[in-house]
Amino acid sequence: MKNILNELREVKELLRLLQCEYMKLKRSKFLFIGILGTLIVPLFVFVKAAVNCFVSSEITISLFSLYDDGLMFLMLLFAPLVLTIIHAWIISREYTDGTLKNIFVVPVSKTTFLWGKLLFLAIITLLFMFISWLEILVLTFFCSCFIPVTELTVPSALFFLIKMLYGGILLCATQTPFIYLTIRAKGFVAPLIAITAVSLINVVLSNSPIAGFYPWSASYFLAIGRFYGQSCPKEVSISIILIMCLLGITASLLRFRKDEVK
Amino acid sequence: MSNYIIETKNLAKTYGRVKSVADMNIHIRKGRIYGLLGRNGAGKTTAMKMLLGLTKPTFGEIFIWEKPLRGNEKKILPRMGSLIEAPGFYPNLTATENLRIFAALRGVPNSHAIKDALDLVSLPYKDKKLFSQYSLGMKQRLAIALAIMHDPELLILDEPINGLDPIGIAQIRLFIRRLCDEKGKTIIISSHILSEISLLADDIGIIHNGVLLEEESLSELEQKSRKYIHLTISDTSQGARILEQIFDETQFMIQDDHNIRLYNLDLPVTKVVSVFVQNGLEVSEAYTCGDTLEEYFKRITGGEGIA
Repeated sequence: MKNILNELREVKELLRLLQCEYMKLKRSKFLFIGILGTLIVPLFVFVKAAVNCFVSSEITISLFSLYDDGLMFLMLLFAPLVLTIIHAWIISREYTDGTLKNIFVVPVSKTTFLWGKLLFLAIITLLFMFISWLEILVLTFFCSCFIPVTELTVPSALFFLIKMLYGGILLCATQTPFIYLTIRAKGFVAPLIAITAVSLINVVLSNSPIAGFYPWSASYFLAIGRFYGQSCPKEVSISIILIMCLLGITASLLRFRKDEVK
Repeated sequence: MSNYIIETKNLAKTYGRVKSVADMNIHIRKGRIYGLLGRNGAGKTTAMKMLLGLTKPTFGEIFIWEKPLRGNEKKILPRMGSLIEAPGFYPNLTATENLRIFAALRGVPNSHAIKDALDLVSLPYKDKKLFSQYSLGMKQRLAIALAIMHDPELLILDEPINGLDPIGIAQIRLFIRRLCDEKGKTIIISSHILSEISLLADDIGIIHNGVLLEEESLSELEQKSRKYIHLTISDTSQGARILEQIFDETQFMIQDDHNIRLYNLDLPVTKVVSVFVQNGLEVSEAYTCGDTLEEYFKRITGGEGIA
């Protein structure tokens, strides 16, 4: 009974932390810029499709290909970069604003606090993917008023919503090393440099048969559900991502608990 | 049963090879203002952080309300309020919004608590001004509001008057005094400003290089710092040698070539004078007089730094 009560208390504390994380974002320019950033990929894939359409009249715009392209650009390049910056900012601001000393004396345990942050970052990631999905859908719908668009159906849109949310979950899993770097460096420069390098390798490996071994590329292939031409079995890719995620969380928790409030 | 709300036993904190706090045995009585006085870098903030569980002691124990802090944080910390170093708030939010976040974390039920806390430090409730636009003094006031918002029994305030103007300092001083006198709060306040501590504190702990040198009530300290024996002699260096070799005395201070102060009042002055004369020294003056509190602190901490 005591254990259940304790667990309920922990859940309540976690919910309070999530509520506070939301409150902290008010008037935050950083997040606003991030949300604006979600527009870039949908606009880019849309312009790319429109240009192709104008160059060759045989090419038509399909919702399927727009989502396909969108998912590729998001998962391989844009989302890891933008999300790392947002995640690193959400964590590092507690150090730079000097708010941790006010939080831990409440008291809030360091473990619960970090879990609260991780959960919130996961929600932001999924929200990011959802907004991107919605933007592609809205743009396509708008476009369909002027030029013919194929596969613009509710099942197609929902099919890709599931894929994008699944991609979001995989993105969360592959973000944990950067969270550790943020905690370690107490700023967002180090994780930013790291994610830039990771994204560049992502681009290089995107057509390689060994991309499945690279967690960030593997996330894309898993999300899109195409593993043809890959020398790495799907299960191995999932295991690699899972191990990396667990290592990232463990290292972050250990480091965060070890660090003293400065 | 202990008379102290806070008691530490051989509390120590080491960063690498640097001892920030060493063997600190602090005793804080209920309903009193305890002033922790020390020069910059003396270890005041580290000691306060340890009392709040923000920093783990390398050695020693902390007892708050007779319970060890370690393992009882969830019971003890909600009864405490604190301000440590520079105020830490979210710059994109207003004062009220910032306090709402911490009120939500603490489970403070009503918005009256936020309004009351802001009123007490003369900050407007639901003002549109962002924390980033606040002056240093306003930030400090907001930090005090956060510390008192949940009506804690014990307050730990690290240099609370930093950045305040003279009127603000007087207001905060009065406010802290009232909290103690009218609401029975126990308050620990740290400062490197002696005049501030002496105006506010009931008990004083003097910390220097991480060591708690003295811990007494203000009245005891004033009494202690007041008296010394002043001697005017022909050669103070010879006089010092005599004091050390014949009287085994080290509690003295050479002022210049002819003036020396003895701080051990138990020393028989007539005997000291006669021994000086027997050893060829001319003694022109010998009388008991007082140090100022400031001189006393400078002496025991070894120099300048406390204003």
